[in-house]
Amino acid sequence: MQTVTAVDGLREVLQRYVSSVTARSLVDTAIRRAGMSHAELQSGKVSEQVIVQVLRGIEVFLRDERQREVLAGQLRALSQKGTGHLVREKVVPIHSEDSVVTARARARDLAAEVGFQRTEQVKIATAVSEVARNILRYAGGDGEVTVKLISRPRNGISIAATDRGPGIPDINHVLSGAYVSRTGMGMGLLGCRKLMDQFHVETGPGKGTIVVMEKYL
Amino acid sequence: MAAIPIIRLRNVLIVSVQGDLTDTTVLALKEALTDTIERAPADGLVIDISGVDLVDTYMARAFRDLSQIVRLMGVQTVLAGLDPAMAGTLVEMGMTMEGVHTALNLEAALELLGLRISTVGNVDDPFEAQAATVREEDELFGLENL
Repeated sequence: MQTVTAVDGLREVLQRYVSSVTARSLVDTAIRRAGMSHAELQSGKVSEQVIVQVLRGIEVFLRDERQREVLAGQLRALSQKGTGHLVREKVVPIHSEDSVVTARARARDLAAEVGFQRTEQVKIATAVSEVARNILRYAGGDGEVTVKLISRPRNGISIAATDRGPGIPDINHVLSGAYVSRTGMGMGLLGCRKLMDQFHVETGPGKGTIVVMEKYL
Repeated sequence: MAAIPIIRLRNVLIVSVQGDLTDTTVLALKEALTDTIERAPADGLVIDISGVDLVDTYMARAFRDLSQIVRLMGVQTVLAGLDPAMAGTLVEMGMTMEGVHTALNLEAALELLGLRISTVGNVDDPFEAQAATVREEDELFGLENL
């Protein structure tokens, strides 16, 4: 896992709300106004003065006060915990029932961190729970769920469930809603499609299954 | 996860599910419930899920199946404590839980099953508690205006 410097960390958090160019210039301006240099910040943690300046600068770009509060919280976390927690990607191997719980908890944490509302967090965690359970039940626990933050096409979260199981023979039939297995796989996948903004399945007999879903802020 | 205890309160059985429901737990709960009901009949079953982190279609289906099984044994199930965000999510997924009664919390579920827990004003003050119980009993028997 690569280490993230304080400057990168700041840009990273800001990019969830504004374009990368704006984020870059906001950070540069804030550092200058706080009377610091890039070098000082590269090695250390994000200081309170810089945070205050960033929040001042972003008011023009981020009109929603609630979003600004969320951002402020994320910046404070950055100054307290350092950039170590700024991991954009979490991979949870699914091999037991406990790992299903872990996967959805990770997804929920990450969703909360980028600023999804509670209702949306529950939707995301539920979708993760569905795909993780499928790996356990139909692929014998040979797979993993990857949760990551994305900024394209919009800010949000992306979930990929990959398994090396038998694959789904007729996925189009399953997704048409005409088929619901005794254990209810069809219902789970269809449900995920309804909960998320993007939903894509790649599968076939003997090929394993990959489900990729995205939800945007 | 350890087995879920089944509590009997007069004619009502109460189970409280915490964390996650696994295949193993569901199976064990099903057996334990049907055994309990067979030994001494009950009228109602409350499944309290306020301690569950989320309900996906698998869990929802497990609760629905459970309630259908015990209904064949004469027991009415009430699902209590479903969080609003989870309720919305389930509906959006098309999981409507038809045939399962629901209640906001354990107390409301017990009331729905005809088991009334007397509400007392201040439990820290035994005198006030007693007075509140008396007031409530008066209301119950229509004596409050006497």
